Amino acid sequence: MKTGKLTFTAMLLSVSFALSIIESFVPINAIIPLPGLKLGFANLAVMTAYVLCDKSCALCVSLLRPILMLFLFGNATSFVLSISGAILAFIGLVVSARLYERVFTFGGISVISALLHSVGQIVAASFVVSDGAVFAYLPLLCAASAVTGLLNGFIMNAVISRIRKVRRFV
Amino acid sequence: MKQQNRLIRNDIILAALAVVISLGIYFVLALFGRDGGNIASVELDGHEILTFSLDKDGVYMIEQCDYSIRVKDGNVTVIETKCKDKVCTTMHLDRNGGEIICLPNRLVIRCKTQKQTAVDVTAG
Repeated sequence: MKTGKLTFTAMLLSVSFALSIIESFVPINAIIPLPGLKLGFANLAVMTAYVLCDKSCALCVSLLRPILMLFLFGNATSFVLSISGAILAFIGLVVSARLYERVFTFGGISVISALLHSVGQIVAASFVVSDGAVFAYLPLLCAASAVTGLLNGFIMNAVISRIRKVRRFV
Repeated sequence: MKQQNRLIRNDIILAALAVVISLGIYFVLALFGRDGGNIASVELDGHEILTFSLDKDGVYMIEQCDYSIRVKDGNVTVIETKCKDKVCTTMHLDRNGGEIICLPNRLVIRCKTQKQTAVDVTAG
């Protein structure tokens, strides 16, 4: 059981890592030139971890990915932004998961996560530059991340019905 | 299935609300909250290190972080930065406001109005 969970977490961590590399190939900033905007595919792996395993598994996947990215690419600024975004997104996921199949599907949960991720990112950015000027970007970032969050949630709806059977290995 | 449709409708309503509210806030801020001016100030780590006039064309170097900006017809653009992401090169600043923020260099460049005496000193 324990080994299974460890393996599953490690597997999802590598999936989230692969997803974040794949999303860097999508030139989203060429279409919408908004600093800090990402598709957030890595959150798919976090949500999968939460649904198929448990909170601690999801927390590991969401927090270890930025650390791994830091080791590989050495970009300290984006590490600070993504780790604080990840923490808030995780809180959003845990809180809104109670509403799953009662009020929302993964669409709504993912939107809430994405919005909180933006807030976390901007708060971290304001600490990085010691200035509140970055908050001017929060509304636009929230609007864009609501859309990407909804998109991710619908991908998640499609994914989860197909991989639910994995659960018995965990 | 009907239940599922209702939930998906809720998802879309939530996302649409978020988009509408945040765009609303954005436009309200864009209309009322922009502080324009003829002076741009450069802040590093929250401390002002350089001010310059937007009325005069020129190129300014920020030695602390190998950064250079150009002022042309009141528009400020970034022409050189050593950071990896180059996000700040897409940002824009003019007399009506806006700001250029470079996170890797911890720089903020923004517009401000200043007392006439200070203008004279910096435009010198």
